[in-house]
Amino acid sequence: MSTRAASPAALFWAEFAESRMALAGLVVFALAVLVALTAPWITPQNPYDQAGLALMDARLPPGSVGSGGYTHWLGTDAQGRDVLSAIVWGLRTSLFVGAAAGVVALCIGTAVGLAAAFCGGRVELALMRLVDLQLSFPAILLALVLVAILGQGLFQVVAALVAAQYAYFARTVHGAALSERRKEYIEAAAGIPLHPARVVWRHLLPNCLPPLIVVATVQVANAIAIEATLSFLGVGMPVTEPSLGTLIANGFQFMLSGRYWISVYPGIALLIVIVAINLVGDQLRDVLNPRLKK
Amino acid sequence: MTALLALESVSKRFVLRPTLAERMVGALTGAAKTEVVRAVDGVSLALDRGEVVGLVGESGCGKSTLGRIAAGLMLPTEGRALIDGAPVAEDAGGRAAKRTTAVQMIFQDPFASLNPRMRVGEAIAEGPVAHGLTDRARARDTVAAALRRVGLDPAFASRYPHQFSGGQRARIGIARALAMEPRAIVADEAVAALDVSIQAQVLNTFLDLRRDLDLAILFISHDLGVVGHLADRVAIMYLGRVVEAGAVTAVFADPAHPYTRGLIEAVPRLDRRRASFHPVRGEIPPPLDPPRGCHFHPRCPQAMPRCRAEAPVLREVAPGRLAACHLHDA
Amino acid sequence: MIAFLLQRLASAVVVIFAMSLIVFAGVFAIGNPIDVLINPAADQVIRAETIARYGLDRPFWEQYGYFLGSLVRGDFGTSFVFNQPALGLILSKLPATLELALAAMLIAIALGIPLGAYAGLKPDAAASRAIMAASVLGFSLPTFWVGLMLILVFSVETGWLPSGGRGETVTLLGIDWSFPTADGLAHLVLPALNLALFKLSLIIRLTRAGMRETWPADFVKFARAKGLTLRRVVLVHAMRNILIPIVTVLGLEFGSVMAFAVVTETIFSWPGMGKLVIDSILTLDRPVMVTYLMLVVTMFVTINLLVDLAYAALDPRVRLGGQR
Repeated sequence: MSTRAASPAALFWAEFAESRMALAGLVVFALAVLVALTAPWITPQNPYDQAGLALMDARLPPGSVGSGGYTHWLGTDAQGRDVLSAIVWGLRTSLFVGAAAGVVALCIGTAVGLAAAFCGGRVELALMRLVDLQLSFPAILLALVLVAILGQGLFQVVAALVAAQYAYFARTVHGAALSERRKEYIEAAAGIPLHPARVVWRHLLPNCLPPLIVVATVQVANAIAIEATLSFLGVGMPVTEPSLGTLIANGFQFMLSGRYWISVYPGIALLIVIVAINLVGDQLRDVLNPRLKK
Repeated sequence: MTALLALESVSKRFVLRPTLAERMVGALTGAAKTEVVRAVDGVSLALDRGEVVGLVGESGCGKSTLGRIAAGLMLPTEGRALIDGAPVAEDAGGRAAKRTTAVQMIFQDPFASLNPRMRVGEAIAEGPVAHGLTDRARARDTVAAALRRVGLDPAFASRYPHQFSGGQRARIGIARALAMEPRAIVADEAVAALDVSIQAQVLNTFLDLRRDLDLAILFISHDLGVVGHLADRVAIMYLGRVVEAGAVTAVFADPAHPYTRGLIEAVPRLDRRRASFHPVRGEIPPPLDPPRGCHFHPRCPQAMPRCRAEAPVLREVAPGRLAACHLHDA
Repeated sequence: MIAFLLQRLASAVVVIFAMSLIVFAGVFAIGNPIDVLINPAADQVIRAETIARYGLDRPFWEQYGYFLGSLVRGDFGTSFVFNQPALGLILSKLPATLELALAAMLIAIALGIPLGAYAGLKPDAAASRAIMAASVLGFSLPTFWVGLMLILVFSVETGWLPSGGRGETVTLLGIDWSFPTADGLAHLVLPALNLALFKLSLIIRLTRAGMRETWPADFVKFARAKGLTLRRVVLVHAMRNILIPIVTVLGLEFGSVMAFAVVTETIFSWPGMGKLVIDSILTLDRPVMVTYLMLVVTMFVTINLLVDLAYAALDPRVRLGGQR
């Protein structure tokens, strides 16, 4: 029916799909997620099942056939793990950490930003001072300090990333909410009257979403990069639950002796994921930026 | 007979407090002080059912603040705003709470006053559903009735605001207010943002509403021409105070306050062809620091020494006519 | 203005104080340093003696109070691992980090401004597009990853440059430097390049944006109309306007260069503060961690304070707007 309008979501998708690079990024990212989710069924080897490892397979170059009878397309590491399998499992950890940190930081940051914008006064001043202060430190340094304090492990790394990154969301939501709050539709909703929680949830928040989505995309990529850095430095994910960063760190010592594949292939996987997310984020920024709209 | 919507000696003051650091310095230099703006200063106004009252003044005179107090969006610092004898809103720690649904507000900017991410139907149905005036099953009918009432196609309910013109959006804003089944409406510059030809259509919608629904309408505008077309009575505000009030025909025919006279002469009219175009001279003084005595004396062509010293009181100067001017004491 | 100054100064002091509490509380919670300090086979007497010597048996507040008092006296404790004062230990590593950071900034400026200016003057050229694409990568790639690739390409595959260490150093003004010797310089190139990458991307973007904004401006048109050569217009007239924001950002970013040095120093085994702090985290060397964190916090707060004050001095809107 022609009177039924194209929803904003449909318009948004049409604009997003205008960039082939962004579409490619989205496809690659979707594939990475799919691979990570199905890791136990698609890899020839569970790299963390010690019983399945044979030391005689250690440090085989890419393309060798190991004692398992299948080809190690990307070689094996020092313990005889299939690097391809390790990458798929590492991807699983990296993506999970990035997504978990991104989602939790999004929720906390949005709550803080909205609370500041809605309450105003001293609450706003105190919250935003804290956020500004945090933003003046590089996130990597903050995360490093927090991991140093909290210790290693999945939960600790996610907590450190959330604490280091929520401020970006809070800043963004606060700014958006301040400019939206002055608009008459908010006053109109409050005047009907609707419950304040409903005004925030149904009116204020949806209109703060565009910049939030952009920040969320970039921050997920950053979370993955920071986690990889922490793990590379040896203070992130433990060896029992390795992410791509841990794999790279494990292979680093062998790189100087020419066994590049143990480090480099996980590195390339990390690169592909980060670039794919950033491509999506860049296009989102262009589509959602009202100043660039016709 | 008590009025339907009543404002009783309403005042609103805004306080600008210095920051802690400013106060620390102020303690040393004595410079920082708390500043107070009297946006509305002791205004009383009453609307009967089926009556349209125009509230006129230049921007910054406090008419929008008064409108928000009448609609329960803001609390007065002093005085009361009542609908059928009950307060329009309660004070909950300095914020307006438990606002009435019986007074609805219509806003100035037809582009900003609709949530861009909500379909028109959802926006109209949201309030009535939340307040139990209708349920989800009957919401479609409620929305359709409200849209028809303002002359729009009920099929528009599934569209988003960006697909409408300014005039259509203004009507959607009215429909949203009507869906709450209000007894009174406060319209704040409801047609100011529209083209003149569209203005006339929306004004006619207001006239239909008054006829069909027996609503009391407080119509706030800077435009005397628009108010003259629509209102039964008019109140003129200057720097937070009402300076003149009365029936529209009487006030337009024989203004009792020099400020009203200035405003009326500023309205372009076909039968007068720029013959005597004397808008009110000068600028509005800063509300932070209004003139002593009669606020209007620096701009008044008939100012007397007394006007500088003593503020005139709003009182009856003829049956049904109020004015605050020392000229009537002669 | 005085109000603004007071406010900022007070908040800087509050921040440093709050951070000292957070840092101390956090570090207090990490593992048990006693396990690092003594031989696991040591008997209870030695164990108790060591605990008493380092004050590890005291309640939290007492340790914190003692810690604060020591800070004021300039005593940051003694490293458990190296058994020497933590502050002296970190400061002894400062020149290495400083040399690396300065070299990185130099590379970022020397490469970033010309590349950015070119991309700004010829936005549609293929080379410009390549420069901008590379700068996007520079923003999104983790520093350690790039460092790894640099080692792989320039050390492992080609063998052109060493992969770690400081090389031969020369003592100037009582401090060791790598750059004056050929060997030291060779050791400096890769880590400095690695550390420069993020700032390089930033400077490219800033210069390009500044160039595109300034180029159509009236004064540039006027200069060209006067018959000045393109070269002179770019170098003198346009550049002068572009440099102001770049210098501001560089001032702000110097702190973050020091922070990112943690990563670069670890990869390239560069014996600076960053490597020291990572090692101290791994060995639970509490005094060194705390001292490093306090130094970094103080540095950031000071930089922010200076930038705030400089802005306020230059732009009255900031001081008025900041007070609402």
